[in-house]
Order: sequence, then structure tokens, then C-alpha cells
Amino acid sequence: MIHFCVLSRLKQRVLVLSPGMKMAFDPQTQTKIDQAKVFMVGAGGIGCELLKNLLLTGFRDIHLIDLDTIEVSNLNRQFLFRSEHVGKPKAQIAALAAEEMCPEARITWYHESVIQPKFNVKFFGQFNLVLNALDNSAARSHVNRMCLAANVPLVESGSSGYLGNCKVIIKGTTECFDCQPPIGQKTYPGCTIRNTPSEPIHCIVWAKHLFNQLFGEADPDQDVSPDSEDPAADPEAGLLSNGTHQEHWSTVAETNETVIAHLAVQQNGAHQLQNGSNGNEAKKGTSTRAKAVACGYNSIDLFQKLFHQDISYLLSMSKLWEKRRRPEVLDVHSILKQKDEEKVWGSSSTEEHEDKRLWSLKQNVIVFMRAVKALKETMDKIETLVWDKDDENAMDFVTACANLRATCFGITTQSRYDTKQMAGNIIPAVASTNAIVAGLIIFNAVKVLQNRVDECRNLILKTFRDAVPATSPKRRVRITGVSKLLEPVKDCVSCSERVETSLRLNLETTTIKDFQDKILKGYFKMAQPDVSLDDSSGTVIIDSEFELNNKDKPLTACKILDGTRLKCSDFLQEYDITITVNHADDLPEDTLFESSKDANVVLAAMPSQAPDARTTPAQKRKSADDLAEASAEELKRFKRQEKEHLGFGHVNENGFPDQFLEILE
Amino acid sequence: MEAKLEPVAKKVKQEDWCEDGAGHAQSGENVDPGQPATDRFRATNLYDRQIRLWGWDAQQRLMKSKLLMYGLDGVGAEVLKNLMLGGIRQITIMDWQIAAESDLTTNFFLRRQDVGQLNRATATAERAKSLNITCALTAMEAQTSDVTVDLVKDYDLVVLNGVSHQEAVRIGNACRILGIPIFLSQICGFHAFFANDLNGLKFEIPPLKSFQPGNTAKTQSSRASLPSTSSGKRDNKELKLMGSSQGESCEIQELTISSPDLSVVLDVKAVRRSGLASPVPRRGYGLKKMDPYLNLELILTFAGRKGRYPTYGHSEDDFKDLKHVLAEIRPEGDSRVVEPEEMVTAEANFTCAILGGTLAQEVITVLTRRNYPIYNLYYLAANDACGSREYVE
Repeated sequence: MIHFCVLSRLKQRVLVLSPGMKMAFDPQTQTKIDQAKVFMVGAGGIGCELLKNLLLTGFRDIHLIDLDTIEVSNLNRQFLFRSEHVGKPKAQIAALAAEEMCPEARITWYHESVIQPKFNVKFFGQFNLVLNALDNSAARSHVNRMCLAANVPLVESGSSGYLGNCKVIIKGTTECFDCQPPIGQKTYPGCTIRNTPSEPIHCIVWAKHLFNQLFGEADPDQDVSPDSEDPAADPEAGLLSNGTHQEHWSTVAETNETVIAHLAVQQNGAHQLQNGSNGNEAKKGTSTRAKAVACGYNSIDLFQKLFHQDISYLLSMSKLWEKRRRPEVLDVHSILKQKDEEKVWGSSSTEEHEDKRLWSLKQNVIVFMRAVKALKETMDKIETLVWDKDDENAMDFVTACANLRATCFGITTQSRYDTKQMAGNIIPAVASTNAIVAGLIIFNAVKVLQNRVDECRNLILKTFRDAVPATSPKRRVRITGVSKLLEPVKDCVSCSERVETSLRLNLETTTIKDFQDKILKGYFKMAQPDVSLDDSSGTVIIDSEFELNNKDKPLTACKILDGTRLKCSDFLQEYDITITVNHADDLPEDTLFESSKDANVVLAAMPSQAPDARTTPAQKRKSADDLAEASAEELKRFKRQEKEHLGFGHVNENGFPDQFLEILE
Repeated sequence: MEAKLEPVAKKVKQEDWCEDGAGHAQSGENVDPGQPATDRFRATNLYDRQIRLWGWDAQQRLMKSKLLMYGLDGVGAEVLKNLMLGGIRQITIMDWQIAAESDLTTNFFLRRQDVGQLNRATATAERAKSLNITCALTAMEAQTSDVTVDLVKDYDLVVLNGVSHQEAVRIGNACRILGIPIFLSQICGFHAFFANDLNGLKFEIPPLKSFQPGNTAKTQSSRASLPSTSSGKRDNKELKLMGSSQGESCEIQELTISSPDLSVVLDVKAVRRSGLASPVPRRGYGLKKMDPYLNLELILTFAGRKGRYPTYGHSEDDFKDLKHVLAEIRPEGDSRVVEPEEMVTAEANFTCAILGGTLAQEVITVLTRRNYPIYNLYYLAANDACGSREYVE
């Protein structure tokens, strides 16, 4: 269903300049503002402030889009929303508020994703200006490309904590969103997650994967069971099936040495088992789910499987532990027999934040059991669950599982509060920063309408507290870092005229699906790619409108060989590129491909929906001379944050809010 | 599909995330530890994203703070919005003016039907209160002369927006004696500034970058002074370490502010001295070398002579006078950029948003005594998007 509505379509368009009405800009500019048609993408933190600013500045024809609904945690900054609006579409409520604030404005709102065929180049072409107030780089990249195709100026902005930025993107004149290589969010190799976690985030990632395996849509990339193919592991060791020797393990698992000793004895027998059940299951990533179903999601059995048998199995891969601390198995029965610690539930000091307390081992176990039960009940009703940081049970489950795993591996456990931040990739946000950023957007937007593109600026909002140590003893500290907009990067995949590129990847192992999701959508930011061979046959490889039956085949099986040229195009984005693929079997582990041009590499393990999840060697760009006091370092940090909004990521590791958080908390 | 839309509900509804209007302020005491503190639980959800920024302690301090604000211009409206959303306990807003047509482009709480009818504070409060019903918001129709020691002493912080130079100094002095922090904002076209007096306040601040781990010798020196902010003179702010159980990397330091009162910050001579002692750094080509001090000196000299700040209402006369004043005060051979023409335009909403956002954030920093505050001057040249922290002494 299309959520679409036009408010006051019939209201007369007259420039209301009654006497005494004071307009900030000259009449010519004010007329341009009055007649401008703008498209606001996002009605969240920055969006609410921006809508207000647009109306007060005199903009009268505003289209706004947002696919989100209002949540309680939005209300501390998104001032157009009230608690009674929780659950309603942001776009609709924002439009209503705008209508009330300024009845003569015409607001058109859309409660849906901006990445859609209906919002094509023609749609974008009707606007004088597009304003981004987004929170994820997938949409940013797409809007960027649509504006380039439609040749409409785009004002891009972002905020995180006390920091913010705003710049202008005009085709051929300024740098576009994709000109700067995304500084990818941190991803973790599969074997670290599955076999050898060493940091809390590894356990949290594992716990989220586990959630999907047990209750959601199982993604083969998110296997949680021990990976027997870990190159670091002894290929001959650790091949004992999970379920087989249960009783045995629970008695001998007291010391790791004993376990290993027993393993050595049983190795021959175990080897056969591996070929049977476990090896294949682990590969397919079904073993955990199958086990859960088999035991009817019995939380005790699940616990034993996850924190006893799987850990025992890992211990048997003795090579892994030559230079690492050995994990320890947990026994649910003995933990439950433990006496409650002094800190009982709810006995925290009244000043303390509820979620900031660390749970004891026993509390983790209890929460785990309770959460499994509750989630199973929900699953019985709606079949497939989607992990949501705001769902109490889902969050409890991930916190408890991550902590239990951390306990096994001797990693410090985390509070629910901190786990939520890492698992949900929560970006701290406050009204004042968004208000300032929305003010800066108007600054740039008006300059664009005035045709003074040379006066548009790349603006970075910094904090005095952040800047002072570095800049004192200087007295002056720029709170807004002002610099000129940079010129387009020559080889940018989005805004350059370049239509040719080449990639190195393993053609024998990369599937068509990986090529489509991780390379074309992820790296080249295409929304609906079409691919065909660039030869006389013109064989279609990927059809955006028709699912071909080749998704799981490797590229070689589709006549894509070393040196093959692929014509890739996106009808929606009006974007074409020819990619020459070269076979490579020497790529580092977890690397899906290398772009020969800039040596960009993409992690094979990255979630397919996170296009910026690639590790790029920080491309050192000479910072503009006029970067005022916004150091290149700061800019880089900001870009890291700006692009860091999707899927997984350790907020404290993205080099951004941690410096405040570790001090404040 | 055409949807039929109802106007935005203006009635104040009892929020489902807080049962008692002002209840959260008392939640610290007498809570049965066995019972979940519902208000607190709700507050942690509602304010989650900002608690992750400044911490739960700071949030609690904010939720116990009382603010007095005079002047509901565009900056006042922005500050009010940002602080109410943040969860401040109590705000009293005061104003004497009746809402005018010209307020509609800056104070977004006002509507056309208020123009010529309602006091700016009264009309603003009516619409602002639903932003956060846990905030006790009251409006007073009063003049600046009503801001007396007796009134001020019950508040934790005072904000003055667009009041006269004399009144600002008078109220500033009263606050200084009482030890109450005060902020003062002024908008002149695209130029705007706020000044503050935080004298004597102590702030918990993160360790300075140069003092960070690996540099423990410096961290341990108990009396490291901040690098001087004046030319040659030793600074009077000092840092000392507070006891911290967090380990060396998380040492929280204490900063005690010592700064001159508002009469100095608004004094033409002091501004001139400070400006000459702090030349504008060379900027790259293409960007203006806009100088806050010379611009401020111009505005203050004008205000001293006319008894009011330059305004859009008198734009032609004021522009002439500003040019006169500038010719007098500009030292010979001085090439700093001064923009009298941008001081007499109408106030732009985005100027208010940027200044009001920064001011509100600083008010929160001061109320929570957390982090490094901006003192004692912030100057904004909005049409160049240049905002900077300055220091007048």
C-alpha cells in the first residue's frame, strides 16, 4: 500500500510578505526560497529540526520521506513527536506538525523507503534541492547516485553525539558521497567469532548470530558452531561430534588437560563421526537450529550444547590453544546450585542506572533460560523473529549469551547497557547537535539556491571540549570547522565518467549471489543491478526483474572466466559500469575481492546489507589548505562515523564517541 | 491514497512513560530497592541516547536543575526546546513583549493568531509544555527589572536573550555574587554571540589529550595548569586530580573556572585588547578572515552609544552609524573582515538554531558540571558559518 498524501494541495501559492514580516535574505533570494521545491530524506533527529528551519526560512513546497515509525528513545530530540505518537510513521506526524506550524506550507509525505522504483531519476529531477537527513550509508549512497543522475544539488548531513557535519554535493563540481572511500565498520573473521573470541564484541556478534540461528532466518555466514576448518586449527584434531559424548564430557571436563588427554585417545573414533553428522552440519550452519528443535528449545539442553559441548569441541582443536588461553566449559547445574551473590536482583543503589549493573554468572544463566523460553513462545506465534535491540527478550538473550561465552573464554562480561550499545550499534544523539546541524544545512541550502556554489562549505561541528586540549594555548577554537568543498575524485565509482573497472576475485568460489549482493550492491552501491556478458552472446547473468536459477552457482559455472567483461547497469539509478573480472586464488582469508585500481578489499564475511563493511587502507588524501582548524584527522574520524551506521559495529571502536564515553561512564 | 489527517494534538496528555509529572526528581530517595523504580526505568529509556553521551549521573543532575530564562526570541525558543527535551526539571520563562509578526520567522512556538495578542512568554509556554510534561514550565510576563536577586536565587542558572547592555551587567553582577552561572545571548542580523560568567564553578573534565596514558608522569603531577589563554600571563585556572577508582586511563580531572564578570566581557576596551592580543590566524584562500573581536567591538560600541543593539527595524540608519563607528575604531592598516551590513539584516532562523543549539548544550554542560565548558564568549558569523569560542579578559 502506498502511504502518500498531499496536504493543502489547493492552497494558493502567494509569497506572504506582509509589512513587518522580516525576512532574513534579500527579496530575490526569498522569492527563490518560496518557489523552491525540496525533497527531505529522513524525518528523524536532524529531519525534525530541518523541517522547522525550512518552514521558518520560508520554504513552502516540501516533500519528505521516512520509513521509520516513532520510538520512545526518539523523543529526547525529535521534537515534533510526542509520546502518544509512538508507533506512528515519522513522516506523517512530522507533516502534520509542519502543517500546524505553518498552514500555508504544502507538505507531501511518504512513509516508505527511498530506495524504490517509484523514486526514479524523473522523480528526483522535479526538485530544486534534495536534503539528506539520514542515518545509514546505504540510503545516503543511493540518494547521492540518484541526485547525480538527475543533476540535482544535494545537501548531505550527519550527526553523532556532539559532532556533526554538512556539505553540498553537486555533480561535476564537488566531491560526491562515494568519492571518499568509506572507512568501513569493523568486521570480524568468522573463525574469531566461532572459535577464538578475545574481546567482548566477538561474543556479542556471536550472540546475535546465535539469535538468528535459533529464532530468526538462518544466514550461513552467521554460523555459531565451532568451525573445524579454521586454518589455525590442527586439521586432525577436534573432530568429535557434539552430541555424542555428552555424559563423558560432563564428568571429565574439570580440567582442560584431561579433556585433551581423552580426546587423544578417542581421536580415531571421532574422525569418522566428523564425516558423518557434525562436519556437514557445521558447514551448513544447521546444527545449532537442528539441535534446538530436537530438544524443543529446552533451555538447559541448549545451554549444555552451547557452553559445554561446543566449548569442549573447541578445546579438542588443540592447535588453537597453543598460544591462547584455553576456554573453560560451563556446567549449568553447578551454576544454578551456586548461592546468590550479595547483589540480588534490583538491589542496586537507587542512583545507579538499572542496565549498567553487571550480572553474576548465575544471573546470566537465569536470564538466558527465561529469554529462551519467552522467545520460543513468540516464535511459536510469528515463526521468524528479527533481532531488535529494543525487544526486551531479544536484548536479554544476547546479553546473557555474550556474557556466558565471555565467561568461557575469560573475557570481561558486559552490562546490558553496554551490550545494547555494541549490539545495536547505537549512536548517541542529542537535540542540540541536531539543531545546529539543521541550521548549517539551511546555510548551505540557501547558498545553493542563490547559485553561490563557491560559497557553500564543508562544515564540521566540533566540540570545544574535544578541541581545547589540542589547540590550547590558542585562545580561539572554531566550533564549526569550515572548509571549501573538495573537487570530485577522478576515479569515483559514482560520479566520475569512468565506466570501466576491473576486479580480482576467486571465480571458482564466488557465487552469483555474492557477486550481486556484496560486490554490485555492497561495493558499487547499485539498487537493482542487471548484468550480462559483454560479448556477442550478451548472455544475461543477473536480471533485476526476474530471478534466474543461478544464484548459488559459482561465476565459472556461468561462463564467467578470467578476463571476462561484465556489463552491469542499474535502470533505477541510470548507472552503467563495465567490470572486467580477473581470477585470483591468492586473496587473503575473508577477502572477497580486490579492486585493482585502488586496492580496495572487501570482506567476504560482511553482512550483505552493509555496503560499507569493507576494510579500505586509509587512502591518504591531502587535506585542503583551507581546512581551517578542522584537522584532516578529525575529518577522517568523522567520515568513519558518518558512514558507520549499519549492521554490526563496535561503537567504541569506531574511533568516535568512545573518548567521551569511557570517561563519562 | 488520500489520508484524512487530524491536526496535531495540543493537549497535554499524561505520558505513559512517566506517571507523575515531577516525580523523577525525587526518585533518588526512599525507593524500595526491591521494587523496580519505574520512573527511573522510563527515564533511562526516554533519555537513552543522550545518557550514552554524557552519562547517567549528568542526566540525573540535569533532571534536578532549575533554569530562569528571560527573552523568548529565536534563541530563547531554541534553548527552551533543547533543554525541555533534555529533561530539565524546571524552567521559568519571562518576557515583556507581545508577540510580533517578526517573531514568526524565529520563534517557532508562536503562531499568527498570537501576533499582537499574547505575551511572547505566555504564548510560547502554552505550546512548549507538551514537549516534555515532566518539566515544570511557567511563564511570567515581566520586565528585565523584575529579574531581582530574590527571584534569581532560587535557580541554578540564568539565561538572558536580547536584553539591554545595562540590564545584562546588573543581573550579571547579582548572579556573580550569588554564585549562579549566567548566559547572555544577543543577535544582530547574521552576527550573534553569547557570553557567560561561570566564575568559581568546578567541572569534572576528561583528561586532556596531552595527559593521556603513556604520559603518566604528567598525569600524576597534581597541579598542572592549563596553557595560558592570555599573552604571557600565567593562567588562573588550575587542574587537580580527583580521586578515581577507574584506573589511570580514566582519571577525571577537576577544572575550576576563574573568569571576569559580564561587565568585562561586554566592555569595549577589554574586547579590543583581547582582539589585538589574538590576531586572526591566516586562513586559506577563498575563506573570509572574519574577526570576532572587531565585529564584537563594533556592535558593543554601537550599543554603548545608542543604548540598543543594531536592528533590522532601523537598518538604514544603523548601517550608517555602524560604518561611522567602524571608521573610528578600526586601527590603521587593519585588514580584518568586519561585516556591518550583515548586522542589520533580519534575524535568520538558522542563526538562532546554531546559536541556540550551542547555548543549550553549554547550559547542559554547566548544569551537569561535566565536560569542558565554553567560556566566556562564543561568537557566530552565521552567513560564513563561522562559530568560535573566544575569551575576553
